[in-house]
Amino acid sequence: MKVQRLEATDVLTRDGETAVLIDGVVLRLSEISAEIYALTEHLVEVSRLATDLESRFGAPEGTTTRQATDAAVAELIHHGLLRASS
Amino acid sequence: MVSGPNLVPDPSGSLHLVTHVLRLAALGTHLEVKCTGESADLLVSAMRTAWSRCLSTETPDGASDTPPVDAHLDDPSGLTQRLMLTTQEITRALIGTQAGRLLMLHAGAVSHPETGASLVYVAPGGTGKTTLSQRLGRHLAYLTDETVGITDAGGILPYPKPLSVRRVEGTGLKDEVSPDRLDLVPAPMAPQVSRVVVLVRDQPPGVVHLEELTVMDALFAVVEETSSLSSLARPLHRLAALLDAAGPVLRVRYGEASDVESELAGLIGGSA
Repeated sequence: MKVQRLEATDVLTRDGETAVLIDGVVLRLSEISAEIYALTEHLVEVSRLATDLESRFGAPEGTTTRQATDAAVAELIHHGLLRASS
Repeated sequence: MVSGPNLVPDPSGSLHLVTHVLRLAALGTHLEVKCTGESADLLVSAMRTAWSRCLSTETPDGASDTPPVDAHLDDPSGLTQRLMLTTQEITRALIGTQAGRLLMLHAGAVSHPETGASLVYVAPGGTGKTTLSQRLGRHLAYLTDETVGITDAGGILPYPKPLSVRRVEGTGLKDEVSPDRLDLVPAPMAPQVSRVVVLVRDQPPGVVHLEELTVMDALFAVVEETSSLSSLARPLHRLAALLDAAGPVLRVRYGEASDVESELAGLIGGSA
């Protein structure tokens, strides 16, 4: 699956936290979610995202990098920040 | 300020008697209120009293970019409700006009009458903005109890509307009371945002908690109380810049206005 971000009205990052204003709603992103959002200006394979995130943040504890990436991507899709393309 | 009778078409296209046109200046713009109906004389008289701080003596050069507000009253017993609803309609019209121009917060504000340093207290409806405005405004200049309009440079464009005072009997009605009737201090020439606080009225009387917020926490606390934020250019950056400049933003948890009056006045060098 590939994903791409939807354009936000504004994105603000402060002290490792990111706020995104999209469709009139402001969402607070974790560092990993903010990185996914930053990496998806163009369509990107989720497997590629997982590789990039592991090199940036290291492997997660108690789960695989791919599972953690899938979960974060699903949440961003749910909140309307990413769209999926098969 | 108030013009005499004339005829204008209503939305259905028929002619409708407009008894009075009231011109207001507020939130950095002008607006006309067209008072109609069998009790229009009573209505316009009450409007002039309640909106005393916003009456405009200027005739705008061109047409106002704020659409006029219609206020119709036949039955005099409906005056209080008509005034209340008209206040809400005026606020909506002004906000609509300034969308994309001003950063607008659902907040009250008072200003030091000499320095212009201003305190903005952000809070949802029904959590004490009007009561605090009434108390603080006896010594500090009253700017608004409802909507704070802030320019790029951090200036506040006053909206000294009548204070919407909730009735004790729980009817949902509010009396629109002129700041002049309450002897509130008039706005200074150039009020500037100096401090921002977020009000949470969830404590028992006599208990106050103050908490400094990071800019990001403050942004999320304030953003729910903005109007037309998305219409601004780089809105989150603009809001963060304001919160930086007016920081540290405090979350003030309190029970009664009298518990926090002195503390809040002290933030802008005033006393209560």
